[in-house]
Amino acid sequence: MKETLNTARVGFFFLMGLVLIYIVAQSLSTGTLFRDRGYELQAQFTNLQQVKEGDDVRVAGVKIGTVRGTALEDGKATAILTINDEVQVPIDSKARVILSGLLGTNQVDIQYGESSEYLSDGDTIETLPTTDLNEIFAKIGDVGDRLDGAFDQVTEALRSITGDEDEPGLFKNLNELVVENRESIRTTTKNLETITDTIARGEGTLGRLLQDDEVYQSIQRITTDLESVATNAKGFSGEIQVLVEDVQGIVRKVEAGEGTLGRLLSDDSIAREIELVAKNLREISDRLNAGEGTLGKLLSDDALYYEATAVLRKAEATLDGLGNQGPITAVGIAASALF
Amino acid sequence: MRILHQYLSEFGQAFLLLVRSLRHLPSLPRQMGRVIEQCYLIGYTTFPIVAILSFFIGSVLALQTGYSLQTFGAVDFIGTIVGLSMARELGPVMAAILLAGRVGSAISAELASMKVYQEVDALITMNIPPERMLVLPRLIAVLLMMPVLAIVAIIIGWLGGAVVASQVSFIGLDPRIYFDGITNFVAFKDVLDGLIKAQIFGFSVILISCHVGLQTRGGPREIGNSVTRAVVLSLIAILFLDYFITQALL
Repeated sequence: MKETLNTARVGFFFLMGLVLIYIVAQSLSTGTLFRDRGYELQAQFTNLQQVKEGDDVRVAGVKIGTVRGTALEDGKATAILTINDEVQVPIDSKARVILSGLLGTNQVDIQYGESSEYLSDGDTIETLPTTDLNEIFAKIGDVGDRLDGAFDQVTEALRSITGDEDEPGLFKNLNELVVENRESIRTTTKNLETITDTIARGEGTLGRLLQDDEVYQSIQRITTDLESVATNAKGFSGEIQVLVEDVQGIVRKVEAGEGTLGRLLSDDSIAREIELVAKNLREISDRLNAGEGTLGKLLSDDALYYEATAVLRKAEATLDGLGNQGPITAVGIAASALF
Repeated sequence: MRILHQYLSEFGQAFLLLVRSLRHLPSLPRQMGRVIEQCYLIGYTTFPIVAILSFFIGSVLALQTGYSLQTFGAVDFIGTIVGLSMARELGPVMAAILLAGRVGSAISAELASMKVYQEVDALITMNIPPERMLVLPRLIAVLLMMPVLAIVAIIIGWLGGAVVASQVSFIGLDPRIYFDGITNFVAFKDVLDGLIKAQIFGFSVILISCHVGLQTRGGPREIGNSVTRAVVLSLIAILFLDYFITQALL
């Protein structure tokens, strides 16, 4: 009996050991004790970094699943993600590999999309390129190089200011300038001192302007005068205002079509009459140009001119004849000359 | 030089004992009763002391690392440290040391007294090789029980660490973070390495204890000496093998 009991105990103990080993194996390889119930998504990355089976899949830091496994498909790293059933991932969501700790552990982070359609079992989720720490360090190295270059330039610029043995810099030049002109600088400073002293004592125009009360009072008087001028100007402006109002009244009348000017501007009948007059004038001028009518002929026909000239000539001859034979025969001469 | 020669000779004779025992493997099915009896002694009765020791080893480890790591604000890594230490090193080694102290000493005392009181000679006279009846069942039993003891030691050590990490005021680590540290950084391979180590340690301890017991000569006083020698040799073997197995498994 005792032997049987011991056998049972040993059997139980051994089985317990096997179960414990199985539980530990499951827990450590997948991160959870039992397989997560959920649907699977595939994500192809350029670089999976150190993502391994059992790592977390998170959305905004909240765990929504685990990495079921990793594989190499067509030269691309593929991660199979198991997402919890109660979580729905929009179809335009994007997955990426991020660091989950400073010790180089990674996790898969999903950024939700906007779509109202959701990914289902076996679908492939879009991915974002993996940020490689090495690349970041390389970029930091580039920045360092550029900084080095910038510092070199600054040093160069400083050297041009400070100068060296071969080439005197700005400071040296300035120093020489000061040394060479020390005397004149001293004189200038002295003169400036004298001027400020004079001003302080109230001498000279500037000094009196600053120190003398009379100047202040005269300025005050000028200000008072200017004020009165301004008051007058205000009165004048009142008159101008009246004038402007009158002009406005006139303009209003013109706009209303009152008076000669108003009617001229607003009444269409006058315009039509003017138009008619212009038309008539054009007709008359056209006819004149064409040589029609008496005036036209007078203007354009040369025959009339010649006839008139002949008449005048005849009249002249007649008058000459009159002068010689006396007035009695004047009528007879005129009649013979004319007819 | 003489001591070295003596140790080498001991290990060589232990190895020969192993070879002689393995020659009787075909008789194993007929000895299942003895194997189960030894399993009970080696596994079941050793379990409580292994559990208690592992719990406190895990606790102390968490306490020490927690005390040191709180300076850097890195108490989150207690789980990782305790998990890896228990799985790779402390679990198997502690289980093997307890096995040497509790079971190894008992085996060597039993076999030494059998030798001193000429029971072994009687077996030989009856054409029953002592390796077959006394050594082989113990070796098989330790092979079956040692992984169980080791995994129990590892898990209870983890739990001890979790209790301390969550309950001690200056650590105050959430057990979930503690176990996340274990699951994220401890691979099953680490635990498997620990189990392989424990297996080798346990096997060596039982082999050495059997060998020392069967080598006993003289009167009853030699029984005590044999027990002491068995335990000392077992501990040396454990620590010696520990280094080389660890290096081999890395």
